[in-house]
Amino acid sequence: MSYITFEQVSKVYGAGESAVRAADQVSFGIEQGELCVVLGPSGAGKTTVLNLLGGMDKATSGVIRVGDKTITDMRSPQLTDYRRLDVGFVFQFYNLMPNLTALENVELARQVSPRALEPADVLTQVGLEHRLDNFPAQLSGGEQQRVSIARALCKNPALLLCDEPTGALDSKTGAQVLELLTRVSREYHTTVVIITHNANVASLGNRVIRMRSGEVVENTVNEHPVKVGDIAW
Amino acid sequence: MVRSLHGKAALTRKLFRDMHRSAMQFVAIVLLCALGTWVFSGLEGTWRMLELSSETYFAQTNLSDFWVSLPSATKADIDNLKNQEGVLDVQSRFSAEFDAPDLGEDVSLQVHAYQGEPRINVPMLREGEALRGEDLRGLLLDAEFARANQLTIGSDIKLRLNGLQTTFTVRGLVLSSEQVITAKDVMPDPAQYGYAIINKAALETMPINEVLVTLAAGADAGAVQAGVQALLPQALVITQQTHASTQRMRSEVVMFRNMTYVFPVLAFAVAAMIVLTTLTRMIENQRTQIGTLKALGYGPNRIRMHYVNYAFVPSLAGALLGQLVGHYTLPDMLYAMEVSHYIIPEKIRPPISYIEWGMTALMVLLSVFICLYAYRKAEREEAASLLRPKPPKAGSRVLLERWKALWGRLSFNTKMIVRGVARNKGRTAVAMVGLLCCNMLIICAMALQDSIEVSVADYYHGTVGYDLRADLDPNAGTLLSYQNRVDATRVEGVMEQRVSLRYGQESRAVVMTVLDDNQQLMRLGQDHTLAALPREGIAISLKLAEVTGLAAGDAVEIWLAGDDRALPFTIETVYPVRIGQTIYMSTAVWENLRKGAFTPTGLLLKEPTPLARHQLSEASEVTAFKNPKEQFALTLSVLDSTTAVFSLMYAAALGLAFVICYNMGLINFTERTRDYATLKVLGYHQKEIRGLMMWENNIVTLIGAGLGIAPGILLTHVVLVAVQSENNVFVPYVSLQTIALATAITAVFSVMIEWMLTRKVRGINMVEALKSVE
Repeated sequence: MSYITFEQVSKVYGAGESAVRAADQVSFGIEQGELCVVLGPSGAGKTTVLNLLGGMDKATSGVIRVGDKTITDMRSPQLTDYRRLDVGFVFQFYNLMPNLTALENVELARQVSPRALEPADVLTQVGLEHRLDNFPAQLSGGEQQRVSIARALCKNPALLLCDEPTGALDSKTGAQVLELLTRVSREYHTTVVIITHNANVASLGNRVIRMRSGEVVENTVNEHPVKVGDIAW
Repeated sequence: MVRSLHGKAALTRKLFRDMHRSAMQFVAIVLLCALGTWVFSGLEGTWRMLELSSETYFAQTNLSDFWVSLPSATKADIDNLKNQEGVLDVQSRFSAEFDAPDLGEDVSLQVHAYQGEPRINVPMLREGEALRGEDLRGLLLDAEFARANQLTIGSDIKLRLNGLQTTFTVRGLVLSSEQVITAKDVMPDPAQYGYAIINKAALETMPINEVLVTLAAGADAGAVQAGVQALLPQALVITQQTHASTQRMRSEVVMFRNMTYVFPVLAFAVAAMIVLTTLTRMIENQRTQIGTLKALGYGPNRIRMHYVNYAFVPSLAGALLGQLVGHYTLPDMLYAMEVSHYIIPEKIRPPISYIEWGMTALMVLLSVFICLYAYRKAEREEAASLLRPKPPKAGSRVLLERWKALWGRLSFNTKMIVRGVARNKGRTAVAMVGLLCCNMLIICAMALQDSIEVSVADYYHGTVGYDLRADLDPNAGTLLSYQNRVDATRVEGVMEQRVSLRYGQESRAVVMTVLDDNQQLMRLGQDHTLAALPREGIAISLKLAEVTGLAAGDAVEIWLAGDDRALPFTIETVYPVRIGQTIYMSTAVWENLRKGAFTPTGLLLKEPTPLARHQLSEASEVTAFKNPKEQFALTLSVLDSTTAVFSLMYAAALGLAFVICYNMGLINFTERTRDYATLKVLGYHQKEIRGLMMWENNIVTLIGAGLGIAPGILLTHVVLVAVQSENNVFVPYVSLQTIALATAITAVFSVMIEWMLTRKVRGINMVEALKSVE
């Protein structure tokens, strides 16, 4: 059985004639330590799937399992614990606390995680050892995204979920961020799920799930992921 | 044309939908504007209603300008008075307090026996018929007294004065404008004391001892008074300013008027400030929509007018609502409290005053200007720039971080909160000012009540050293006779009479109290110590010194009623006595004047036995007993309407605090939803996020409420000056207990509101809140 499994998962927003099926009978599996790229155009249901996987939203039907936990059975406090202990999130627009420095933003994660890593060390790992005391507004987009990744990694999560992590970045900075994410997957053996609409990014993943109109149209294992430097932007 | 109308309709729909979407903030603007004008219009309407109702009553009944009292006025005296320059009319009468023995032992009536039909101080007939000139047995009776004693038209009433007893028949029940408050002492008691009007011809043997005087329009009252006193030096001239009933009524009006310009202006200012913050935020949140309208080609005036409506519509609705509700509810409530002591026949509602309309207009204009100011920033930007989301405000280090030893000790959460507070300085400052004002108003409201109570208690529990006072009529015996037979630890006598105090060009009718040389039952000195009475001169009370501007060392004249010679005196000292405009004189000084023996009008008793009270109640010359504890309670109950205003202020402070705290909390929450959603995603439990919010609120509350303490104390001093009555000196008293209690109320209130707001954390939809900015 896969580390992550989606079984016939649906998410319907609204009701009656105005109901929107953002995820429709979605089923797939992801193995532990894989770097999985979920690919699809806008409105395909990628973010919905990521939100359901991260415990930020509840499925209308179906079963989601991560390791030995059944996410769809969890109530709100258990979902909070799940996010606290098992999941790290990286967003397109970083969502850093503007009034905290880079180091303090990472410390924010350590406050709630019992097995957190040392924030300064994690920031050094992402190449920001010289930017510890800078506020987000003093950092470039790429640097802010790296702080966001460091904040997610600091909790030492089993699962790193990234929603369009390069969407707001230029190609050079985007490549640096992707390089960092592939390194995390490789070195920490963390399961990384990256949501993107950029087909070129798909070649980085060990697994690629393609979605369209709320459905999974393809789930393939990529035996030979390419290096970041080799993908065309 | 059609297109333009469609454009207008679309913008109007947008306006109302925006209002619906930000309902709480629009409601907050409506409520704040309403609160600002409500208190103002309420108090403004109250004093105008009191003034209009009482002054109309005075005018309708031709209230006299002077009451000229003298032992016996001759026809020549009256004619001379009538011919005095500035005098319009005079009417003479005999006026005295009669016992009504059939109605009870201590029941008495102030009887005015008019020569001819009353033209001045005309009684207002409520029931029955007017008194005809030839009716020697007819009597017009105080309607309240009649009701309390179950007397009706046709009832007989026996009146007694100095052994002379006559029976009259009640012809009519009346109200008198010279007795809007009919109190012998502090509180009206219509069962015991009232007034009656009869024909002078019914008391043929009695002299004319009072002449009522009205002045011609435009006459100089001071000059006429001086003229009257020169003409009749032995007369005691009581003006409307010193006439107990009229003066008490008018000082109520003045007190309400003074209060109108203190609290409401404050509430108004705070409301305006919160409207500023709310509107600024609302316009800022409309940035991209302003950009879209600009990009669509809407002209600057159309867009500006659209956003002006954001302020105009709710502020107009709120300010008008507050004004109308204030004008039509509060005055009625406060008036009802007033007329429980004062008898005014008709409540006349004043029209909404220009100043009320002005304040309403000011509130609307202020809101519109605030809105235009907030909009101006967006107006200057290009459409393209407006369409880009505004970058979040950058974080920065706070001053506290320089103090590394302290900063290092703070927990991570506290540091985060301190930075958050510093980052949103404007919003935090407004919230703090709101809490400051709330605490200031509550401290002031509580301290004012305390100050009044403490000031009254200072007199009855401090200055007054006796346990019982027995009032005596003119048939009283010598002090020694009472000292020999009344069973009490100490018995002292007091002789009181109304005299005319003249100083410079001024004169004032005041009470002169003659006390035993070695009296011990009135602690007139500083901190309620016994003070020796002056051996030669006189002493005056603090209030008399205040209203006359007199001080120790000043030379004054005392004119006794019926005496045509001035008694020159020097004021030796001013006693810190907080109630009464009183002259104090020792028995020795009085006896040196050779104006008659010291005849007590009251006995002051220390620790009287039940037997003593019984003995005195058996004595025919004892007219009433007064217990300082009861007098204290009565005085406070007279001041009820004043303290009711403080309660109103208290309620307004809490209302203001609720709207401010809730509104600012809501703005804070809305603007930080993304931050809270991030914390939720990171795995913070609801209670942890709520804890952070509460902790931040507690810090802001503590600072805001703390900053309100000093202004609260200051405001108490200012307001107390405004509510000083003619008879009392209120000294500001702000106890630590009051400060602690007010601060605790403010804090609990703020915490409760924040607690309500933190419940919203549960409703944060992480997916929605963290959606990419489109």
